[in-house]
Amino acid sequence: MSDQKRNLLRGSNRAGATLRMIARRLASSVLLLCIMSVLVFAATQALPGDIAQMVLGRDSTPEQVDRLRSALNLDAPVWRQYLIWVGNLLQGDFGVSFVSRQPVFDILQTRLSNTVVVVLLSFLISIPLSLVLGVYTAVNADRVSDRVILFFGIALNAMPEFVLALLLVLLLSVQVFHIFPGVALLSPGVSIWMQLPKIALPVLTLALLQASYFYRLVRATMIDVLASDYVEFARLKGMPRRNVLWRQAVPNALVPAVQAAGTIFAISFGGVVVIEYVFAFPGLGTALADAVGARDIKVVQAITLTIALIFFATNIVTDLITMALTPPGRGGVR
Amino acid sequence: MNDNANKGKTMTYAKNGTGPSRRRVLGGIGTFAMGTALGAGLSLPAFAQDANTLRVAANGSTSDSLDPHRTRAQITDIIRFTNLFDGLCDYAPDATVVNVLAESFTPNADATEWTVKIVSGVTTHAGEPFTAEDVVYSVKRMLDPDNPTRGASLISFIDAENVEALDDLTVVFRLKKPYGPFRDIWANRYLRMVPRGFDPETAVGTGPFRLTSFTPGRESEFARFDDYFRGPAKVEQLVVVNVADATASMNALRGGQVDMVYNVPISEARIIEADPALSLVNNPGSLSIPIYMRTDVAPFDDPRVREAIRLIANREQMVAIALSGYGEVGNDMQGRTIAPCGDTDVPQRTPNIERAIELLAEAGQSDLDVEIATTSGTSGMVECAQILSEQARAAGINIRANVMDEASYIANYGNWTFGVDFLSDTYLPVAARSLMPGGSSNNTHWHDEEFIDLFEQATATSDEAERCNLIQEMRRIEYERGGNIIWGFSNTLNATGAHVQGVETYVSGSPFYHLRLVSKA
Repeated sequence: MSDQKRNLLRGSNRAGATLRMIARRLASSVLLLCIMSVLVFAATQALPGDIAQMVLGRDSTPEQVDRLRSALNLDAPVWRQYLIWVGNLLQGDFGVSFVSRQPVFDILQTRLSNTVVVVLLSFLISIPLSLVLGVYTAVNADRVSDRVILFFGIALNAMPEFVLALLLVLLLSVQVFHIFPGVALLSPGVSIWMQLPKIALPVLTLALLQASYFYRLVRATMIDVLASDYVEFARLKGMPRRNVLWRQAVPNALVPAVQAAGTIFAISFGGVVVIEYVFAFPGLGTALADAVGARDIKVVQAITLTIALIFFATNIVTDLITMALTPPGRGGVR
Repeated sequence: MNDNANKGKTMTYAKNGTGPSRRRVLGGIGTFAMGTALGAGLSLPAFAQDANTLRVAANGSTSDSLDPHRTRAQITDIIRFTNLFDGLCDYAPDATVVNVLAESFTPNADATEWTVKIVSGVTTHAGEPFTAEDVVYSVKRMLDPDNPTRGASLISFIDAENVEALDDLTVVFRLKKPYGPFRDIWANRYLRMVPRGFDPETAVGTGPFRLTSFTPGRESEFARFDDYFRGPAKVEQLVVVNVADATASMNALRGGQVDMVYNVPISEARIIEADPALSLVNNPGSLSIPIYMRTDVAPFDDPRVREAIRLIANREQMVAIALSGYGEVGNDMQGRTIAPCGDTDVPQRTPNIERAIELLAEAGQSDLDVEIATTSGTSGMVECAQILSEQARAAGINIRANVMDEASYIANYGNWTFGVDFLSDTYLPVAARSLMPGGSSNNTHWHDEEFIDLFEQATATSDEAERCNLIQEMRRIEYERGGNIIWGFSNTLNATGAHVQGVETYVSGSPFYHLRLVSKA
């Protein structure tokens, strides 16, 4: 077989394997989503408190509560409520919020896009920052600079999100410097891209939290890779040190990092709740917190499912990137 | 990971000088940091403030609405509709009632028919004259049996079918039963007047501000209504922003993003008072935080047990700790003030642990072990339960504070044997809601024939002096044998920037409900 042919075959095989992998992952994601939907539904049913009572408040009469309960279909058996809900979901109908009477989709849409912007921007800062810091501290492992950066990294990581958020507010907004607005009061009707300074602090908080964890991971894998035989070999072969570092070491250190980045990305969507709250940012997290407080079940269900969906999608994407970085049969060395 | 195992090798690697130079990496970081700073610097003028725009922050949610009658009564809602709409009357800062859209109220002999004259020359935001027909429309809307409104129970004595406009400026109300404090009731914020054909989407009213935009859960904007009949507002524009968290509100105020914040944590009050850039608005509000005991089930159906708990409660300590001193000690009677009536002449109840132990022994409840239900509905609700639980130890009984989230608390509202609530209104409406059988907040399930009789008389008479005497009697009964420990009244704390002027403190209501008087220096 000619080399050209062999390469072609290998290519198509690899493409086939990738497709099969994606199909398998999609199938398992659908299954997991079904299980998630049951869990989410069960969890919202288990929330203490009565929705109708909560919507109507303290001054309502039992008759009003009963009337609302039947209007909201709350007196139907639980399994039927579930089937109706899933049926509507499959038709793309998220329902109407019990509390605000707005379509859940409308609430979700703006809130989700706001949160996506914050998470993406934080990623644009934290990923390059982590790579630079990770590589630098790995190369200088155990020197003073490494120790200092490590100290701050661990300190940041150990801090609860809201403490870091409030510290940044004190430092950059209300006490020491007055650089950024302390609260993300986005004007509705104006694109979030036109109001970027208002979200600077939430983005910075999230980016610092991500970087403080992510850079340590890059550092640890870099230290492993730098100690490996092939790096040693490349070095002994007389390859320029810059090439050894950036062409041999870094790409191999990236594989576990991509997986971790995926997880951090997905966790940021759920974990941004507290940060959003501190900054009164109109995102997915504050909407979820409001909805749980008001027992706005439809909104709670829609948001939790959305977050689950983001998790699954991120997992598939990181797997694909990992595959691209370590082609099978090439031992992970480029 | 295995940092330590590799330490030697890495060190060697670095020392051998194969890594990038420190200078280059530092340079990279520096470039990145400068880039970030530059990016931020370019977009700085984010919170420049306009002297003609008043920005206020308060808590609301996505269930925000513009309908003054059908509302979940979130603060943002109330701020919006009190500035968009007027009532026939309103509360002055000292809780006395003043006329707004009404010019005069005249009862017939037995207070079953009231004739109300409307101020002339009032126009709506749409430019239409506001007339008696609009009042009739509003009252019928409030009392619509198919679509209940928040204020309906306050005016249930009105026969909705027989409210009639005699001419453009005269309305006659025919009542189902005599009602004496008819004028006072119209100061209630849930009884605002709307023009005929009212649409909550456009929210056309007669108030000092007119709506320009509204995004539930986020922000609403208003422009000054130049033809407002009591004189135009001092600022041209009003913006109400939703901020759920009190700390975030304060940060927005400190950073100059808003001018006034409704939500102030009691714990921050002293700090605000000490800050020259801010001012604390310390409203001597009518908010009471009663600890209620169900009078119809054990153990509190025994008056001795109720009295024992009342003697355990150290009210001064509760006000000092639960309200950080921003409040007034209560004496187991509703109504922080019953102006224009004078004080009720009963001695201040103080702790008497020996007597409490005796009473508990007499009732056979020396080992009492009960749970007190509470939630953080307002500052002090959780703290007072925890303090009572501490104080109860001295008497050898066990009171366990069960702190719940609001939904769990509301789910069993009215059925808790022992719990904490909050109520804010003038005396008779509070009595109707919380001390009369069938009242929506009668958590004590109190049913006292003498009290009921006095209440009926007090609401029937239109003679103010007589009503005062009756109210004094009612309060005396509350003090002697009621089911509540009314340990204190909480001040309502707001904050503004020092540049904000024209803010008055209110006993009933809030300066946020009178924003036409506020200006910026």
